Amino acid sequence: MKLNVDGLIVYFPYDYIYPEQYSYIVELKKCLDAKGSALLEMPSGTGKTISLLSLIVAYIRSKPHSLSKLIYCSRTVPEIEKVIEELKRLNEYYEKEVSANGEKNTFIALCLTSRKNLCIHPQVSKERDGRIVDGKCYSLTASHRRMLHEENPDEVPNCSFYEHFDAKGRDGLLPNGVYSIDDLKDYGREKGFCPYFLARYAITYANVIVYSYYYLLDPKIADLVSSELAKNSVVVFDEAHNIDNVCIESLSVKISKKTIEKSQNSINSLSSTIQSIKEADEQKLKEEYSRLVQGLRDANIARETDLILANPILPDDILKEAVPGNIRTAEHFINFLKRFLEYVKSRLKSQHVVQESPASFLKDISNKVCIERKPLRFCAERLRSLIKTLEISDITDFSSLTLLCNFATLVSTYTQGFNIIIEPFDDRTPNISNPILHFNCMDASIAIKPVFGRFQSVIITSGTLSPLEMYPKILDFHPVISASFTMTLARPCICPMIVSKGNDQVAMTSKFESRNDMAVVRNYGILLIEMAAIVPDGIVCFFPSYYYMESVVASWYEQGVIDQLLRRKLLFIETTDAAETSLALNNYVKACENGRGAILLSVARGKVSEGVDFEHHLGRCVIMFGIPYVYTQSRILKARLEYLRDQYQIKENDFLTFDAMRNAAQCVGRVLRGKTDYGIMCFADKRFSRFDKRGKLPKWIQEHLKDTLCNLSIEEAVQIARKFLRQMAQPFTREDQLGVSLLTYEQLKSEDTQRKIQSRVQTG
Amino acid sequence: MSTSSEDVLLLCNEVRHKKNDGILYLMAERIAWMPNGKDTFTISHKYEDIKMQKISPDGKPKIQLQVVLHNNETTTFHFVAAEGAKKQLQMRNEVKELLSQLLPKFKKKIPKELEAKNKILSDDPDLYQLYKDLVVSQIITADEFWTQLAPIRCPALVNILNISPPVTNKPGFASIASNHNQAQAVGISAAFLSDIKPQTDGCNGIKYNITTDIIEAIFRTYPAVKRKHFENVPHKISESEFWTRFFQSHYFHRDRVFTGSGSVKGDLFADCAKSDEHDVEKALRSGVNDPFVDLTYFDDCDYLNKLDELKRKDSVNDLNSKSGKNRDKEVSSGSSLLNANQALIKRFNHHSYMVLEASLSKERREDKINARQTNGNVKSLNNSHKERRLNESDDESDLDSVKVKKKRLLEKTHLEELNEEAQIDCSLFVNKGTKPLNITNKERYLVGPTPVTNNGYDSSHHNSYSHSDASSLFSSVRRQDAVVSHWKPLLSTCLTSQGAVTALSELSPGGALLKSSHSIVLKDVIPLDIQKELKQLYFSCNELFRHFWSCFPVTNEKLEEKLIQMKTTLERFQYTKLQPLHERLIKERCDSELTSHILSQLHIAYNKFTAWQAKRNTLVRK
Repeated sequence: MKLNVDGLIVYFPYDYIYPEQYSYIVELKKCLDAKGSALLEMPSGTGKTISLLSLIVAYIRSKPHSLSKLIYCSRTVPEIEKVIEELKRLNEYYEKEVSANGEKNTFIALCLTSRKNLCIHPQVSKERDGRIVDGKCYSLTASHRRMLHEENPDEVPNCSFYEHFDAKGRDGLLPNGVYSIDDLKDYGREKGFCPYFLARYAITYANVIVYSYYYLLDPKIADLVSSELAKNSVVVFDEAHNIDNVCIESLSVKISKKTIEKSQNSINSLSSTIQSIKEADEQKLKEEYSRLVQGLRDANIARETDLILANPILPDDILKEAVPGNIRTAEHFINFLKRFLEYVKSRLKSQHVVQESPASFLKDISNKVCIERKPLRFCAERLRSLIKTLEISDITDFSSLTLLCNFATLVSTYTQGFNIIIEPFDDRTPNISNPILHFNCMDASIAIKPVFGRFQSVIITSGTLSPLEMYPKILDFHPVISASFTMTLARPCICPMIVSKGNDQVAMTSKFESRNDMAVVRNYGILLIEMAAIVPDGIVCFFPSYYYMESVVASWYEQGVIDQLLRRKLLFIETTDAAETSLALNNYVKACENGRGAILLSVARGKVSEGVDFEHHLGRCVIMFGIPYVYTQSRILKARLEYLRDQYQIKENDFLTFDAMRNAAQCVGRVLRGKTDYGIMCFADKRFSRFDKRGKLPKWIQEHLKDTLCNLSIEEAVQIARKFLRQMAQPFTREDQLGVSLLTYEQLKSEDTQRKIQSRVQTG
Repeated sequence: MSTSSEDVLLLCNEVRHKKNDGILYLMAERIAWMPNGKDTFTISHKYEDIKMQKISPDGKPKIQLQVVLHNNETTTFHFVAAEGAKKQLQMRNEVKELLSQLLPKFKKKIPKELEAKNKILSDDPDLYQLYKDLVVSQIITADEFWTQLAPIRCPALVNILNISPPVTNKPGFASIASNHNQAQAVGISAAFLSDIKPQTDGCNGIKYNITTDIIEAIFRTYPAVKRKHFENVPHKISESEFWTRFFQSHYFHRDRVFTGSGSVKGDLFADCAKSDEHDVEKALRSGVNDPFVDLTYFDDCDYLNKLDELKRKDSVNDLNSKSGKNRDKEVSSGSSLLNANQALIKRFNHHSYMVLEASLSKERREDKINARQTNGNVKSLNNSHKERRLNESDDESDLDSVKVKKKRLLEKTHLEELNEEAQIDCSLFVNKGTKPLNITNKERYLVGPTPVTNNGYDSSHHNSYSHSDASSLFSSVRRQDAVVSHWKPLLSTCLTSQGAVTALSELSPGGALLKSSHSIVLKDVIPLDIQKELKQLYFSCNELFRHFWSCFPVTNEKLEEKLIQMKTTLERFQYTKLQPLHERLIKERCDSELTSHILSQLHIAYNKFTAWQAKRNTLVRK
């Protein structure tokens, strides 16, 4: 249908529309008009993505001068592929409608992902580790390798796909259309182009780009990939509830003993290479030296394939100066690195926990080994230049050294919002020495600031963003619109409930003092057994931490709970290993599909809770065992809390609760993926019923969480669940939904409905 | 009794039985003993009558050997060779060895069956009562009892009786397995291992009871154990020894900390754990076809610039190798308790995975084997060909995964209900590569409990039932089947969900239609023993009725005979069993109406009988 939103014709590729989709579109339009940022929360499964895409694409088409590009960032590769699929649908609809009018449809959309997913080189693409793929690609496409290949084509291999692309690929544009990963690969195969570099090039002119957060938020990658994107673009961060963590991660460094050892090896190999080059070809080093004297930027008009290592700091902070004299020659730089490495090594030998600011670290390093701040800042840049000069093709081995240099650059660039923590051992195993230096970013706004500064509009959206007022604070921005949309439902298809006590009236809680209490563990077991008996197909459970899950599973085994569970359903458990977990998940799906039913035990904040959907029968019930607080004894967290309190006036407890509740909401939200779907959301902790916790759940869950459902025993919960499941099993058709949670075009136009829709939006 | 016709395999002098000295003969078909100075055997047991042999423990002053028969009679032989204990022992062992070789040959099906039947009867008092009522009073033959009646009571019986000696006979397994697969493969209960409950035998030992079902489940879920079984039984160790070791092994008790090389010496299953790990590894390597659950596929970043060094290391380790070395390192670095928990979790995952795999259809597995074989053939042909072949198969799998991905993407992104033409169509679900459920015994699902009505037992009803012969019943089932398979739900004409919900709530306990009546429940009034007796009575009586009614229509002499016999049995039953109870009820001032139902049933039967008799008489007269 074609909607007229405030004068803009929006092509919506479906015949019906959900009311909340309409209001989402309306709010989004306001935001784009104002050229500002927005914070929008809408439950998953209500067609958030398609509403977003259809409005923005319509906007770009009608006002190409005020908005030229959509940059859509999502978290995981499957999410990216889903967005592309929706774009395809939209594009098909446009084709149909526009060609009927006799116009031509010009529209290019594509996704960008790592070489691992895009490579079509017959040998390289067989590798399964992304890092190896990147390394091999570099060794085939680096400019010095290609020169060598020209001299000596038999011995030095190259990548024909890249060569072909380099020769012809930049001449024309991609044909109109929407390109998924597989489409890019097919196109690459057909034309003989390298899909990865094709995509890297194509994002500069495409109308819509879909890629992962890191390509925009991580300064190193953003510098390589996203530096040439136009300013009048709109950036969308989907599934953005954890965006602050991504920001922080991209600027934090962890250095362990192993990193030190490996760096040592890399430095040694570098210095021996320098020696041998010095004997053979001193000219090269001299050239580099003079280049460095001139200054960095203008000297490095390097080819795209050489730019594989990037500066870890944000573009605004890079000094536009020449490299300081004492690290200009290769040998001096190596000696400099050695000194720095020794210093870090000596710091790691500390027997007690050290916590200090970057400033005091810099002071100490200057006192002890006479390393000044300025050369430190150039470390990463200098290493990059050296690696290039030495024509090292196998850069995978240098990752540790790169890490060390990145640390040097970061620590000397940022003094605010960062800190350094050196832990000689893990708190859980105090006897085993395992020193780690954490360089932590505590301020999420640092990494995202350039994004807000550079692009015209930034939309942050997710199924769970409550409470809305927290995000502007921690990301330090001012949204023009922040709104939360609830789900209009023709039947109450979610059944949230808070189970606070067992049948023996012992309170259920994962509070630290009582979490290992036998009665609590047993009650959790009983709850799961009872639920397994009445809920059909899949049940998903989330524990606050992996360690807690392990211990609970062990005591369940001793108490015979596991045996009883196995009598009902198959049992699968998330492990720390991604591949193993994938296998378990796959079997979980199989077991649900063939009707046996299964239980999946999983961890909040784990990969499963973040990226896997349990739609329909894959998740009829989700149980949250305890509140998923982050490990509060962690020093990194404590430092961040302190910082948040001092800088942004956010109370420690508020932040912790906010963080726990958004993760809980994320977990339980996994089961509801649409309006025909239904599921039980069982919060098994008495602390959930307190208002400060309940109030932080998303509105669309809160709506259904009545007071009568807030303090249940296991028995009562089972009764309610049974009744709910019986109701939900009744046939459900479109006729039931029409007019309530599903609108036709005619219905949408009536003023009455318009008013109703407006009244449901909660703006924050 | 002459010995000439039988070969004497072993002869032992100076063997004492009941304080008489004599000579023990082991012959081709029997064991026999002859007192000194006589020329006839006073004791002679056929091997097939012998259940087992027992020997006195080492170190006891008396060197004895006991033979236990199937009827639990025992005969004890005391070895009293004059040369001393050593010689006695040697003689005893010779006998023992020979016996242990001979006995299995004579182990026939029948005694085992008898034993099994015995056990069933002693386990199930109701069945025993029935046996007494029907077989002992010679209403039906024992054979009929076991083949027709008992399986209804305990389905496991079928297996036990058909597969004789349940544990030792391996071809038996094979046949049962193949039978299962030809029909529809039955899945395995996930809890089968935990259902094997150990029982203490009273002296610091534990007894595990396992049935063929359990063994089959173990074999299907753990092929490594099956392989072990195949390798070791019976040439190396006996069946029971095998299972004893299985239950003792670390493999079974894997929640205990795995001690590596320090495990029990000769643990048969030490390498099973390894092969399991290998299986998992293989599964891991082949990866997951569905991109939406493959966590390794999720992350997307520029790998070289990723700062998180430690995390990466883990993943690289995991991807590159899962070798034992790595594991060991992990083991040594963490505390042992944690590792036990992790192993436990791994084990559960593996267990569920295997259970799931086991219930996949056999064809798929066969396909796999075939594929492997063809690959093997190609390999032997030539190398280049092989490579091409492998590449092809790689490409194929790539294509496959792309297809799967496309399908899943469509499923995930398409908002069905927003489309005009989208219909929630049942056929859509059928096409998703699902398999239709193939139910062998449909009546079990189609016939629900029918309400007891007043006319439920009147004669006309019975007539119609007994006259409707099997074929018409069959055709009606078939008709029903046809109706069901072509049934399309007319959802629009259904009850509205609102209405259905109210109906449901009214039908739930406490609802308008299910207000529990407050009249006195009979159960609470009648003493327990009478209840029990009544139940017993009904049980036997119903069985008799079944036989009685199954005689109609009377088509041949045999049935006629049986019918008459049944009638007299019923009468006898009424006078010997029913009447006493009735009188007792009156004496104890209980509700004497309790027996009236049975009586009415009896009367209906008698009426039917007299009607039949009258009809026959007229026929004969004509």
